Amino acid sequence: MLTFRLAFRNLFRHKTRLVLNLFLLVGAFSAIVLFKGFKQYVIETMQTSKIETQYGHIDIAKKKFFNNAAVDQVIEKMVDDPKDLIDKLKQLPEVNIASSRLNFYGLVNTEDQSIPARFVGFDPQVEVNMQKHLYFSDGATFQDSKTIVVGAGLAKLLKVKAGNDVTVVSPTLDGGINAMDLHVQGVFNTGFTDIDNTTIFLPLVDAQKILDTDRVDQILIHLKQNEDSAEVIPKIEKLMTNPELEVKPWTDLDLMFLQVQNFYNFQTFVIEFILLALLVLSVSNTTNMTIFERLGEIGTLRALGDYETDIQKLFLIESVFLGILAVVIGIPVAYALAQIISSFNIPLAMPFTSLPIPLKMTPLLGAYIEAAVICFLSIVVASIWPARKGSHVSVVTALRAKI
Amino acid sequence: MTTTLLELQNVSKNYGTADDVGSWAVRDVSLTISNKEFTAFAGSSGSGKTTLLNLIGGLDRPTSGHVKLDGTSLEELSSRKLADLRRQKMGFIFQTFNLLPVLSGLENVEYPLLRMGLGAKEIKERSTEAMARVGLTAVMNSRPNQMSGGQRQRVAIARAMVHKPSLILADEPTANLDKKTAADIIGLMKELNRESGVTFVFSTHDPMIMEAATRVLQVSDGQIISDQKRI
Ligand SMILES: Nc1ncnc2c1ncn2[C@@H]1O[C@H](COP(=O)(O)OP(=O)(O)O)[C@@H](O)[C@H]1O
Ligand SMILES: [Mg+2]
Repeated sequence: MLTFRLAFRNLFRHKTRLVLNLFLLVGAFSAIVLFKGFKQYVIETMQTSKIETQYGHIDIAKKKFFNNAAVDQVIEKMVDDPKDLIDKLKQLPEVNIASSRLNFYGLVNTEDQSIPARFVGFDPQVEVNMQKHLYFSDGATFQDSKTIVVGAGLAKLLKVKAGNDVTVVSPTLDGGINAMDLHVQGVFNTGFTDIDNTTIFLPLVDAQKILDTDRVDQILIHLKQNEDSAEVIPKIEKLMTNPELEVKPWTDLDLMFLQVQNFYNFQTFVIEFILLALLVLSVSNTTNMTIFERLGEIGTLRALGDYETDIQKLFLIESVFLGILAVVIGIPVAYALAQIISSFNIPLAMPFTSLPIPLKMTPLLGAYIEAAVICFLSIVVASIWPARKGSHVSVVTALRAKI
Repeated sequence: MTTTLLELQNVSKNYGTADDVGSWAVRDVSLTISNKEFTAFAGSSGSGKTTLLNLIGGLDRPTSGHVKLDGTSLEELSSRKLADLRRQKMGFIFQTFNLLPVLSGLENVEYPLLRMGLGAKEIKERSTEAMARVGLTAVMNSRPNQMSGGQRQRVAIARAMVHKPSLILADEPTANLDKKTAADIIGLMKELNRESGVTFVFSTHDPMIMEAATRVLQVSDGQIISDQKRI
């Protein structure tokens, strides 16, 4: 107990040194919390966009769909009458919405050109949230049939704006050719150029009319909670009667997103490693000074019968107190900084997305824990070496120093 | 009845390289000190008093010769065992008091009891008692920097005796004190020596302090040049 009191009070002997150390530690703590929080926000933002506009959380389709069937095989990816399955899926407590889509390729004809595009027919009445994640640079969402929204990159190629009309030409499922006049209602961005440069969304009914079918090729499931995927998939599989259908979580369908996550995780790791190294260097520097100023004290304690390890323990306890202090101050500081910075809504250009992402931090318990671990680790690592050196100084030499 | 507490046999200490003739701090010293003695090493600065006390206290190891405490040869002990021995059998008093600045007087006195397996209550009792014995009950919760030099050295004396050692080593305990306080401190040490029979070995170059000793060993150039007992 007295050792703890001694260690705790020793911490406050050098006020400026303590303040300097705390400044560094709290700074690093906050940097980690802010960086990880922002990384999480960026990933969540991209993830939400992917889920809402492209995949849902879980997809049901035939193997040919998942493998991107060739144009002459499109008939093989079609699903008959998904109503039954969709109704059953809606009964699952974890499921928010279940909705079908029809995807196809066709030609978009304007007055002076003709460009191939990817068409996604979806049900605007069911996928209500989806349109919120299409950021419209021109025009707005559509309610009517015979209207489309066009990806910004594609719109630029086509030189179309909201209000223009285009003609879509596509082979029907049974080999004929169909054409339909459609009204451009808006131009959107998802932030993902692979979508924005190629894709047109239109009502499912129109898509079905163009292909001359009442079938669909994709069933999207939106869950109430992001985390539920793993446990819901087996439940979904039990509901399915058609053996040709497969269930996949969206993460299986978007390998690019895995790379995005890996990129950000690696970046975080590098930043944390640099911070750790900086902390170790600066804290060990001050610990070194502290220990050599306290040689007289070390010599005295050794004369009173302390072991070298007792001296090391004393300095280690002081380090742990410093760590506790840094974390206790770091938590509210980091939290407040995250709140303040988030409130400014500063848009930032980020890799992997063409849309700016606001500088906001998702509060993450894990980030606080990681920041605390890094602070503690650096302090302990930084004090082990000086403490060992200090405790190894001969008692006689140590005693000659002023106490 | 007196028994031998401490024995030095041909003890030498060389701080430099072995063939460096000039750096012998202690040269071939042999002596015995008995229980309950109140012995002073007297000598001018640089004569080797501190080195002798360090060798006796196991804080330093001799270049050659043997130091025996209670029949145990210190050179046979590991540094951990030496620490155990100091903790159990020795007390130290320093010229510069060497109190821990962030602890109160009482807490400084508690420190040597920490690793003796005593309960918190007993530690408190024994250290409070020791503070009372040196006359510091009133200021025992003050920090060293709020105390006078004499009070600080009294705390150091309480710290040196609280664990009931058989030997207290004091290196120039009065050198940083004024004449009157120095006399008080040496008087207190002598009282404790009489009361509890703890052996004191101290060093000084102050003739007035030497007066209090029951035995004066004159140190010069690392050797004992005279040994006077006076009862
Ligand atoms: N650690 C050391 N390294 C080198 N020389 C030392 C050391 N300690 C003491 N000495 C030398 O040994 C001699 C005796 O010193 P010391 O025992 O401190 O004398 P005193 O305590 O009587 O003043 C002196 O010449 C001193 O310079
Ligand atoms: Mg000396």
